[in-house]
Amino acid sequence: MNLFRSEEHLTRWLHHWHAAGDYVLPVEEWAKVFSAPTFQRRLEPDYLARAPEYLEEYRRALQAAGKSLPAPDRILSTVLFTDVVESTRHAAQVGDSEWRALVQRHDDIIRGQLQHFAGREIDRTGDGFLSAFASPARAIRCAQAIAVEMHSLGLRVRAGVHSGEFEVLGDHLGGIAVHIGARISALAGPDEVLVSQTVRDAVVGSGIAFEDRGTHELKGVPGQWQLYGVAS
Amino acid sequence: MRWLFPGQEVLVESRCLDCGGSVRLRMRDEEMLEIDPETAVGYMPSPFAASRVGSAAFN
Repeated sequence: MNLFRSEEHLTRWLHHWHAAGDYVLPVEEWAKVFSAPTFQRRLEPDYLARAPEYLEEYRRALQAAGKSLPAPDRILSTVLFTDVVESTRHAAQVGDSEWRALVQRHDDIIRGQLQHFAGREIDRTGDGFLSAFASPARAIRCAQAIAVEMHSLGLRVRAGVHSGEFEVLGDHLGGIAVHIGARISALAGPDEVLVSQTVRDAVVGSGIAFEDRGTHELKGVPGQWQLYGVAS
Repeated sequence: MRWLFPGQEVLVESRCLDCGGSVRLRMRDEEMLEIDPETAVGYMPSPFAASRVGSAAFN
């Protein structure tokens, strides 16, 4: 926090920034805001990694002081969810130690393919990954490459791809579009890359072929969703 | 200060970013015991500011 002798001093310093007023409070008010539990968490070693989870607490603390955070930034992007099929059964078969080693190799494969296809790792989701891409075609090709390479580990993955507008929360993505991607992935079969109609329409001309997988309800998401499996 | 120095009186002696004049705060937890000058304000840029739109991180 920066301190100024008065709002007049601050205004002079920020004379070109029209949004400045949203973040200016008398110091007594800031003291109350900083007393919110979310600021205690700044002392925890994993605070930065978990900061997006604390956003709502921060928003409430600011609201109590009569201020509000700006609406989250939104970007158009494509998410890819991958998940190991029957991971619990595999883990039980090979034992904890070997399963940990397998998961490490699984992670290495995914991160290698993300690098190759210019994807960005957003989060771990149990035995899977959430990644983001600027190009839906690259997300599909990445998913296919991951599925093939996982065979070398004796694993099979399911994958879901969805394009839409996402909220940017620090280094993470949020919003209903993330949930849609996760639901699509959950419907995919072993080695299958399942995509939304948005993705199929976006990659017309890429040479990627699809098979109709029918319309589905995605739990918690309004409407019917036409899904497609990547054929080649 | 509540989290870093619970129950202790803390003195903050700072400078105004605009004029360099003194800004002095004395506080215990979230209670302000003294603010000099009384007109002092705090400014904090949001970590979720619009400048992140189109961030290279997601492109």
